[in-house]
Amino acid sequence: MRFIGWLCMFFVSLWGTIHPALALGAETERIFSMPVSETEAVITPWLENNGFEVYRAKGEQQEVQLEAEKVGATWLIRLRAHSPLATRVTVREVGGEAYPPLSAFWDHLEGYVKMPSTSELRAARATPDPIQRQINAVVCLFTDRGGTPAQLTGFVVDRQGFIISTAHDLNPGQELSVQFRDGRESVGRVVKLDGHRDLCLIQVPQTLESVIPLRNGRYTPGPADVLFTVGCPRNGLESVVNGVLDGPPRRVDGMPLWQVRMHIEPGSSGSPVFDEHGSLVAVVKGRYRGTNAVGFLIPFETVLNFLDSY
Amino acid sequence: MKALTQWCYTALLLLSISSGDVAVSYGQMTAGEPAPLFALKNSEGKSYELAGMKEQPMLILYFFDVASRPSQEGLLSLDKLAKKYKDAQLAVWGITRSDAGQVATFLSQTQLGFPVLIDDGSVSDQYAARIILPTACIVGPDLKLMDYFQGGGKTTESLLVTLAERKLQSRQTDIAKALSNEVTQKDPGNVRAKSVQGYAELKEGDLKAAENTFSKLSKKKGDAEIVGKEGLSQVYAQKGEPDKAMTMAREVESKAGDRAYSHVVRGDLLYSQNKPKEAEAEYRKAIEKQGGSPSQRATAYNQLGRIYATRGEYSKSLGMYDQAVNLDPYFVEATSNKGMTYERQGEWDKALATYRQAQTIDRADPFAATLAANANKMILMDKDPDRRRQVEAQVDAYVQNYKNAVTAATAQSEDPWTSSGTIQILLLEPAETGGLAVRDGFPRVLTLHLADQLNASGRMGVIEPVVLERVIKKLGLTQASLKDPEITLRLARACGVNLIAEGTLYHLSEGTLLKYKLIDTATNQASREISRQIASAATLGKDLHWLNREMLLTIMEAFPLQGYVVKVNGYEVLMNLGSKQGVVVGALFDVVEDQPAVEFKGKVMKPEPLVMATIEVVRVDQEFAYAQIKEQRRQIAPEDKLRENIRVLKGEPISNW
Repeated sequence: MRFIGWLCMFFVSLWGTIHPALALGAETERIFSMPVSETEAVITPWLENNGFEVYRAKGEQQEVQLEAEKVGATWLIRLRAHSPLATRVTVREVGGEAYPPLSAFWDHLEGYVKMPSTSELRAARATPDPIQRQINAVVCLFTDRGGTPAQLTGFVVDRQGFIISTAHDLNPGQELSVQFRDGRESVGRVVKLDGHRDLCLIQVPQTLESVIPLRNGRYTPGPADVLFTVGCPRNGLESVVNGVLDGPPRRVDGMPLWQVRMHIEPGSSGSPVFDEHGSLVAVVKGRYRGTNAVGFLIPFETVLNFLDSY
Repeated sequence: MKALTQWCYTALLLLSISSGDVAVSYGQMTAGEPAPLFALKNSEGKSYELAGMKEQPMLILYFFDVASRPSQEGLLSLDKLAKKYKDAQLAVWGITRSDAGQVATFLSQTQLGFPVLIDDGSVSDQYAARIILPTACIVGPDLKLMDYFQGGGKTTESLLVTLAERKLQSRQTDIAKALSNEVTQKDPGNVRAKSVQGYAELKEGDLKAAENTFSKLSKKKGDAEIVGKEGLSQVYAQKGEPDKAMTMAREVESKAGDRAYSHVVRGDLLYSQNKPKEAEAEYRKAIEKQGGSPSQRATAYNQLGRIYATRGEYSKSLGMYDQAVNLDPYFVEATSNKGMTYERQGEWDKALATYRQAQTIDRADPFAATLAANANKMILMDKDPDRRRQVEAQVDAYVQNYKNAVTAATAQSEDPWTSSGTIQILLLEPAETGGLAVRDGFPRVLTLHLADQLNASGRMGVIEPVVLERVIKKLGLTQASLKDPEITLRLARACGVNLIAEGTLYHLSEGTLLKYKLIDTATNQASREISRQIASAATLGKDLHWLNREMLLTIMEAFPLQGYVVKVNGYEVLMNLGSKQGVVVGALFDVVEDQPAVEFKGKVMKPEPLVMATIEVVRVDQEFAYAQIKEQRRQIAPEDKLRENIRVLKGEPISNW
């Protein structure tokens, strides 16, 4: 009875092949490197915790069909073995858009696959305490890039609500949404923007507790120093990554830039970079086109020069 | 009008005090009594019924006045945390006697994520929450009232710390730490809150952080010193430094003789040194002490229960688990241990009910989920005569084969290269050694979980645990005799399996070490060892899945699917393997060519077959499948041998040429 949805889908898809415009919401598919049984064990509690009622049916072979329902939205999810160790997950949205959106569902699965095991977690905790203590000063910034939503990172430098981030994609006076690590949100305004240095200063109308102090900043880290960057958290996971300088500083358009061997995710622009003692040494500018493993940093000195002129 | 009502209540209170019956009319509720049932509506008219929350492990009822800022403080703190920790199962109902208009304004100002229910006063009366606001109750499993708080300020702090302790008991370490942090930000000297942080770090397996937290506490005076040293003794025990742990335990005893936990630490250490009697004496001392938190004493009762269960003294062990759960209603380990004890006595109905109770406490608990599913299966089997007969026939056949020392008959094929069906596995329950695990039934859970997961792969067939258990019992084999490789090989051949999976669980103070090896029954050769350390209960579910993946990969490497090319049509290849053998869309196969044997200085070596092409399955039928060519060194032809490509599953490139 519960699978009337699937039956309807069949007829609608049939109809959709004749009148493509009538086909229901797009189907998205991804492959995850875990068995079907494990994928199901990860998906079901997530759906239930997010208010969906989940009905299950066993398909042919190793196929599992899940129908997740909540007011206004239904997701038809198919899990098929891609191998005994990989699952092809297909989701079709029926009805309106659900909250949380489908992207959160994919993020959860990606996050699970990437989640380190206990022993890896122990190694990851090697993040020095002075850096851990400053994590709360890192914020997520949400804006709009020519009609598509974009995300970048920033960090609080002054209790009076001042946040530093990169300038690309932003305009002077622009308002953007600021999300703090404790979940609070606020609206910030770009009060200063320097496209040449690729830095901007954003102000939020409140007093902030966690600050990355500029007085502890460091001008030139050594080539052997391990650097750490804290990006805007994705999927609720701490994203502290480390790396090292890759060659001497370069000058691009007259501005010094450091190349760094570091895993840099999209959305990391504007993240603070520390040495192992927790001193601010740079800000992430972006990554080398086409790779996540090489990035560019704006040195601390440029940040100070930028603020001096404010 | 409202002021008048307030005045009337104040007058009534004064009257009651003068007549001496305040405790009756407007007193307190006591922990342990059932929470009075009610149904209320929020400002939008949606109905909320307490009886419907039976499945919820924890619910906070927060009686407050929307017009009074101090009375909202605790609710707003909880709201902030609930928004941050979305999966924290922090269920809170605000209850107020304020009017709907005021409530609507309050909600629009605060954007509260919790429902605020409007009460005409009757529910507030039931909960003695009319005079003092805020009043908060923590309602636990089975809708039992667990904690009761009246007043704001310090009481709010106390509510948050208690909630942190409860969350820690139910293993939600993230939210426990956040609650503790919320308190210590305002009151850095709060020892209970600090202690929650330390124990949460311990539960997460972060010994360095826990040591740091407890060490700071231990340097202070009074209670902090005791709590700090108690925590340190636990940290040292888990770090595998028993001498330091014992020293700390002794220091705690000398300074605070009424505390239980140091005896538990000593008991655990003694048990791991193979001194069960001495360990029991320590646990006994622990349960006689009244100091320390209830959950610490509950641990002592649980460990005693475990010792009795190992001796087969089930009624005594049940009594101990009951005491443990009474002290700590969120003690999911003790609850599932109780179920395991019923299971050992063959009382499946009671076992199932107890596992279900454990699932109410923690829905994600892999022990309770696996054991409940199995208990349910056993109950259904008892009710199904056909299924019972089928199991018995299977058991008899294997027992007969074993007695006659014969290998179970398998269908002989004319084509030895092509895989015939699923790989049969004898999955033995791993032997337990080392310390006394908090949980009973670890080997059982592992075996049931793995059997389900391996069977679900469509490639493996595990001898049903219930069949194997009965065969072993009928043959009078024991855990000790199954350590003899000859006996297990004979048993495996009697059951007609390709592989034996045997494991060991070492309970070490720093966590449980799990080791499995797979033995090929045809060659009697063991595969590489699969081992993993399970450091904390929080990651157990993921660790079990990891084990399944490793085992699948190891078995697939040892027994890759093999078949032949039947026909080639352009880029499409028809092969003689299908869904019956577990072929799925997306699977990769190599076209392989055997190499002639090489003789070198009197030794004959058989080189690995050469990979000539790789194909990807695009359509599957029961007996055959179609694949497309991905790479080839030479033209593929009918009769070419096919072997499953495992390299990609291991993250290697498709081909190595």
